[in-house]
Amino acid sequence: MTDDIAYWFSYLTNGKHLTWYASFQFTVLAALMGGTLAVFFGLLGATLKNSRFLPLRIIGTIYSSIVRGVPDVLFFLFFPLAFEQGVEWLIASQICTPEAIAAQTAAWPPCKEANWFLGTTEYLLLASVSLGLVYGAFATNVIHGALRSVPAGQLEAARAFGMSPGQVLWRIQIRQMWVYALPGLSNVWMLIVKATSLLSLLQIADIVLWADRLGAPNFLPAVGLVHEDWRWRYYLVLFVFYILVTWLSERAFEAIMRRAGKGILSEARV
Amino acid sequence: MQAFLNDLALMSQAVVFNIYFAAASIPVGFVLAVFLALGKASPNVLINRLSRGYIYAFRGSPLFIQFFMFYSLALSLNLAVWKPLGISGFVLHPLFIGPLVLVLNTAAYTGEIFYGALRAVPRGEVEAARAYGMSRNQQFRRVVWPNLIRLAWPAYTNEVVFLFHATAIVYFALPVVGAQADLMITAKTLFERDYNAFLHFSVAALYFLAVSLVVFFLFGLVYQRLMRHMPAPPRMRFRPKWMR
Repeated sequence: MTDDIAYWFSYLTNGKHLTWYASFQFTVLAALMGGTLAVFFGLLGATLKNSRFLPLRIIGTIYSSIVRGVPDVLFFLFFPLAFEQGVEWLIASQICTPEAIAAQTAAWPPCKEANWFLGTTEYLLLASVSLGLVYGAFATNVIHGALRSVPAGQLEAARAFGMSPGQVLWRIQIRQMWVYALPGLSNVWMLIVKATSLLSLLQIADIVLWADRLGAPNFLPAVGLVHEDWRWRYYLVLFVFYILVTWLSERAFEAIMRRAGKGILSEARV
Repeated sequence: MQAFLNDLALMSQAVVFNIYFAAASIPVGFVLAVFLALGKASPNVLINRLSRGYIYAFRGSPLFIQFFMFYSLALSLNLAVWKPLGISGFVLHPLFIGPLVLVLNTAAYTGEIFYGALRAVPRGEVEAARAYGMSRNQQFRRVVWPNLIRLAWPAYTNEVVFLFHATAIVYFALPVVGAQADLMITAKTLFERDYNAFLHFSVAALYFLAVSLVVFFLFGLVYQRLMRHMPAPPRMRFRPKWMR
């Protein structure tokens, strides 16, 4: 019995396992940054959609409908790649000599000096921005709807006090919008949490990649822990982890909702 | 321009796989979802808990993890179960296991939609049906179901489009067999050949958009048919407002 406990303790505190536990930070970080950026892009998109000027309105509408019309994974892959290429193109236009371009045999970058190597940190930042961009389109719709469900009387009262349109927007409409936006934003947050499982597609050694490596069958004690194909057990752990995160987020949003809805929602219900 | 047309032609074969994955999983998922929704509304504690737990688990975890989990589970059962039965080539094939996982996933999402619609069925109609002496079976077929499907249809249309979008990650989790590459894998291979991200990914996106629009159109026709007893909504008028 004690032997079993000691074995499993040493198994679970193996160096590779510790790296796996540490890699949860990437997932959490990407979710938090992606969520923040999604709210930012959502506010921006909703403001554009509400704009008095037609071209801005069109930009807002196109942003929210095109990004929602293609799969999230497509945009999630496309944005970091396109951004990397854009930066490399910019570097190349500054430093590449004609000889270097002529010497380059690969299709990209234009010359070897223009190559921009992206590490985990850079990819994590880019992944967060693309999560923010994709789910910002969803948040745009949520916030757009929420802005319109602020009672008209509140806005009229603000105007009657002599507030300028900007003041009405920032001091009244956006302040009161959150209560109506929260249920929708909670859905967007759940989508972002689930999308963080895709980080390994951008060569980030995240929880999914480590689960695959740790679970792979191994029969050589020199290489690591000896076991047969245990990948499904590791994925089951991740499955449960994501369900727990969902459950925790639900509880948290319920608490925020109760706090933010004090005095407003009971009024709206009557 | 020539490259664009080339991509269009290449991806017209790839999109078939995405359509296959969606088309193979939607009907089965639909039927399973009806049972899940009824289970979630059932007064039987065991059935209720099971359907609730199933829907919660599959809606609360990423499809990507579900793909990995079920595929690795199938792999580890290979020597013990599939090989002796002689069906390992079939069970482990992405064209089988892809739709299988998609069915499990979409059944949970659709089940939740149907459960919401089930709760929104007007009580009075069900009570009237009971007053007429209809059996439980008749009540469901003649009163509850027609109401449920009409209430759920717009949300179900969205779910079908999302399922089609979800087929994009099938081959990121499962192995690609031979030339059976879907839109995303084709776009990625083409990208790795000439590093033209804008062209290849845009063409793939265009295909996804086009199929989504077709789905919206077809499901809209079905919705019109479902709602044919209602007065037609007013026609849209084109009245541009350049400056508000």
